[in-house]
Amino acid sequence: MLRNLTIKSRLIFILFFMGAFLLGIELLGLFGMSNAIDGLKTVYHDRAIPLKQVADIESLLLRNRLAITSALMMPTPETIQSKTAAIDQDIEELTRIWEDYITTYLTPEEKVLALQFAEDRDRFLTEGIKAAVTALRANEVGEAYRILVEKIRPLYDPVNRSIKSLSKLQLDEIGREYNREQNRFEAIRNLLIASVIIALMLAALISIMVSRTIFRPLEHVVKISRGVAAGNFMQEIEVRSKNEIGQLMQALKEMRDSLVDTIRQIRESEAHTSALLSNLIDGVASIDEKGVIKTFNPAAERIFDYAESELIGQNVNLLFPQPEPEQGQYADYFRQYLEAKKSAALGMTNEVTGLRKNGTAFPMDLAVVEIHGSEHRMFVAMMRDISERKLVEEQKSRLMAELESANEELKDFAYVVSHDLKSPLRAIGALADWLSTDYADKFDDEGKEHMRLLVSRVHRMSNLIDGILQYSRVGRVKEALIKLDLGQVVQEVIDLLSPPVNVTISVEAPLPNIIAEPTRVQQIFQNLLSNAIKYMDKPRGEIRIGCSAEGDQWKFSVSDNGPGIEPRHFEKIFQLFQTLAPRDRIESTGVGLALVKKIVEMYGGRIWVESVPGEGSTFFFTLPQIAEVINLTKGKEA
Amino acid sequence: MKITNKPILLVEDDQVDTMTVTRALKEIHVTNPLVHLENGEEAVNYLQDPASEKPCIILLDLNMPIMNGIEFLQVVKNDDQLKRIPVVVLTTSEEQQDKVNSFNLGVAGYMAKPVDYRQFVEVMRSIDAYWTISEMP
Repeated sequence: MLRNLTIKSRLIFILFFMGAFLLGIELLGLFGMSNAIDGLKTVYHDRAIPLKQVADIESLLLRNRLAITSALMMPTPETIQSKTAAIDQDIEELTRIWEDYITTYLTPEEKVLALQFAEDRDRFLTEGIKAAVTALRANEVGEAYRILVEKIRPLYDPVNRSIKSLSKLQLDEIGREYNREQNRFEAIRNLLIASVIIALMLAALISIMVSRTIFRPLEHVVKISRGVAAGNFMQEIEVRSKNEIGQLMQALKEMRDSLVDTIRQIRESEAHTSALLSNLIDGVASIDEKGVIKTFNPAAERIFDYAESELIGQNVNLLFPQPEPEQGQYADYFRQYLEAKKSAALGMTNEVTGLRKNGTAFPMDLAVVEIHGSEHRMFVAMMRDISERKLVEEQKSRLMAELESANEELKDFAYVVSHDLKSPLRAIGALADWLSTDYADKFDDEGKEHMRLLVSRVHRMSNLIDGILQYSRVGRVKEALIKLDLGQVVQEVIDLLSPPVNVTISVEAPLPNIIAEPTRVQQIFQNLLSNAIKYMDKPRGEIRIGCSAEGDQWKFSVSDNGPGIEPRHFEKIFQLFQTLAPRDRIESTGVGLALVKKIVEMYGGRIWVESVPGEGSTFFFTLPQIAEVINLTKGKEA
Repeated sequence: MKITNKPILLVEDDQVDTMTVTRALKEIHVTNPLVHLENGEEAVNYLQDPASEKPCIILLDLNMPIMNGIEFLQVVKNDDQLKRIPVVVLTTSEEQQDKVNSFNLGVAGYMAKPVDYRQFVEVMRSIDAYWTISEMP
């Protein structure tokens, strides 16, 4: 129960107890002292005064006797007169002292003696002194002398004896009283000594208790605290009581637990960071303001081929090739940074040259950031070996160059085709023409037919070349995007195609305005309409153009009542140089639909066909309402 | 041609094309003498030679070795003596850039050579008709 009291209340209790104890001892001492003083007073009053009184009485009696004797020596009237007066006065004094004396405290034994003495004295005074005085006054010196010899002298002996014994008794009594008081003082002294001893013992006991309850647990707490400070977090902290020490212990335990928790969190975070650092692809090194390497992660080790232990404490300049004098920018990269405090190089990735352990230089990306918050400036350098990337970049740029040259060749291809292919073709055409005109009479019918076929094939080849050129121009040759009234564009195309009278072209829905390249849009309608006209197999051809909004796109349709297309050809017809009719029957290059598809897709739309063979076909295509020309890749263009 | 005594300068590297032009001119009865040179450099040399007679018109191919048509035009149109001679481009190229470059250099016309000879004759006929009625400085 005491254990659960707080030390404060325990201390208060102990101090209170001690105070009460000391007060009790003090009171006891005081009481004893006052008793002793009283005793001394009693000794004085009861013994010293009576002793003096007895002595006085004795001396007075003796004086009376002497006065009688002296009066008898010189019995002159003057002497007798003075002596008898003195005797009377002495007797009076004696009586008064005696009365005082018997009122004092007397032991029964004393009382008996006193009464004996009183009797003896009265006889002595009455029969001796007073009688002598009477005789003297009567001038009977002889008689007085006789009284002196016969009465006074013998009567004095018992008086003297009893007074002696009374004195002796008094002295004995004083001695006894004295002894008693001395004993009492001794008792008090002993009591005080004992109380001092008890107080000392109590003090010792209390200090032991205090040390047990306060200092030893405190030392324990100190030991535990030191242990915690030294990093021993696993030690047992037992809360033994609920007092302040217990609370301190509890607080220490909580602190330790919280510390352990914090440390665990820090360790986890550190482990996390270190795992992150260790598994980072980029090399990370921390460097102090003098350029001394502090940490070096595994990726950095891999990059530079150094072990971390080899580099810790080394200057970071070791990792950079010693520069030529004129390009000494990395010799003191970090010092330079420190001088120019806000260096633009900081925090930004720079491409620099690193130096491996084996002395080979390699390109790397380097970014340096400053860490704030610690006393010293620290820098973290992030490094990435970019040799492979550089290699890839080189390959890529080489490839790009190749591609560019290929593209250039492709551009030239159009020119080559149009000039270098068409020139000889034209020459063949011209020569064939001249042959058939100049030597007309020399050719028979078959020869003339061959010449006609030759010229027509020259034309077909020329058309094919033109088709290729047109196709290759889409997406490559850019026209300005302008706002087009499609109604007007379609009307112009119809006028250009001048369809035969048996074919009617109707626009069924009002056509919208779009923003596009005029030539391309024209090409879409021109090819679709000319196909519809060209392949028309019915006596009354009907071609309808429709348009509807579909989402954020326009959906256009060109329908005809022509021969129709079998579903298996739906994909094929949009491929370059694919035709469904023999070229001799219907002259076609097979470029038209491929061209239309390329244009539509360039604008982000799509094209498809729906058809019932024998009844007609409908070509659908979509164009975005807000035109945005997709940059066709060069590859696709090829 | 309005002026019949001045030569027509043909700058053309292809033999059949030269034959085509010669034949077409003959067919449409153009009597002017024809001076044929095979590339731009030869043509420039001819034109800058004081002894040679200045042509009334230059028929110019673009794609030629040594000095092509555009380079030839750059020289001629910067020459105060020569820049007023009308130049008609006769070429296979339908490249927009060639057309733009040619007209930037002040050509009088740009004709794509048709594959069909008959059509070519018609082209030559048009050129002759135009330069017969057009005034010249």
